[in-house]
Amino acid sequence: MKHYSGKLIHLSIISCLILMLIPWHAWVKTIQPYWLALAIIYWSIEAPKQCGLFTAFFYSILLDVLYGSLFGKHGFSMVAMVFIISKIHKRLKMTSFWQLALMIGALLLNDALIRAVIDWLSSNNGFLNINFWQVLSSIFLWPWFKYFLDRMRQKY
Amino acid sequence: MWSPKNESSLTQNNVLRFLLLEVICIVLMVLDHSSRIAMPIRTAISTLTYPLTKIIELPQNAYEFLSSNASNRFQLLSENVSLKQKLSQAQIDLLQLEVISQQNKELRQLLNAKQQLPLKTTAAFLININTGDNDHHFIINQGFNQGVTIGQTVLDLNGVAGQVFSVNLETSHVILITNKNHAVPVEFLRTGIRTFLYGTGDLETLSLPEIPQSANVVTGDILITSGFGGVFPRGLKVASISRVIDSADRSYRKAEARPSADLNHLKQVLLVWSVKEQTLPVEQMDNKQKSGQDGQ
Repeated sequence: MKHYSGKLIHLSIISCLILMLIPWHAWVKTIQPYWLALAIIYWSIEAPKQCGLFTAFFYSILLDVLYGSLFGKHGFSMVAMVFIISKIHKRLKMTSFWQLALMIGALLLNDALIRAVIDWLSSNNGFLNINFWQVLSSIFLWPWFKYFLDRMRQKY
Repeated sequence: MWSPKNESSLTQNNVLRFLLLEVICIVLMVLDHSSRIAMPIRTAISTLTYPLTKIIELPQNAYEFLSSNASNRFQLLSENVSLKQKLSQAQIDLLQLEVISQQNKELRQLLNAKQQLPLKTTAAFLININTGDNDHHFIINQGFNQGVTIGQTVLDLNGVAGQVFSVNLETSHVILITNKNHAVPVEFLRTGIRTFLYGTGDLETLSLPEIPQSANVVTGDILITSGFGGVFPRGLKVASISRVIDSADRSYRKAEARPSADLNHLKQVLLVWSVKEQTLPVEQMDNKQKSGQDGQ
């Protein structure tokens, strides 16, 4: 297994965290891709030893503090996602480009569902509200994201 | 190097780690409901996130710096004139208020109630605002280091904007009154009827689903905080009624209200510091009087 520069991994994850914080108009916020999840998915497929459960947990707790959301909400869903990836990451590395995008779509949908259930349980809204737009935009962005990070990885 | 035995031990470790982290997350989520335990953890972690919030602020600060330098003399002059006009208007209002507050003081003395002190406020600036469908909140540039506490009321110049719900080291998150999960105990200024004002997830609308059928409610009625629950101080303007809806069989009545605060253009807000000791006796007495009137 190849060892990647930890600097690149953490730098890319932190930049994704910053991307998530940029203040936008409400509707842009709704379709804003889940950058942090994209970065963590990428690195947990490519470098599972360096970006594992603890990394995912750490950064999503930071996101919870930055968003002021329920403490551990993003952490819970992200850790679950990385765990699933760690089970199948060899297969994920082998699959074709489009199949991978589909798989990641499923993972993100699962992640969004977990967060929606947590929201539903912790508030008294009465109905489940999944942000499908975020999932869609994340899937749409995934190929470009992967291409960009692949290039960065070759350079550094 | 990569034997099956190694791999199985790795996955077993992974399962353990996974369970451990998920349990930690669940514990954190449960603890989050009690601010006394969760707040120190949040504040500690926010020392790590502080540089990130600074980076986000950077372009905004640069823009403000540039625009303040680039604004020309003519603009400044016209702004000065309009500000002076506003100031003179405010001074006239204040003059009238002084008379009223003097009368109020005398009345309170007659009633043998303690004097309600004017609110102590400090200004705070918005760093980031989030008005997605599910989650209406914004972040201000004052936090634990400035002594901000959870539950503190946040005002706009026109009315109540929200309350602090999570405090970081140098920033804090404020939940807007329009958030779906937020409710304010309010009373009608004209009739004194008490009810709750709920957020709807829309910046322009608040809802009042629990109005007694007998209540006299008309469009334009002003709602003020009732001070119940001890979170919001009493007597702050919150909203005005924009629509009254009677059910078809006239068995219940509900209404929609429009927030007084200009939530679409928030830039600077005021944090209210509680002066509980002085206001409490007044509130208690008011409650007694009211409950007597309502026959509750």
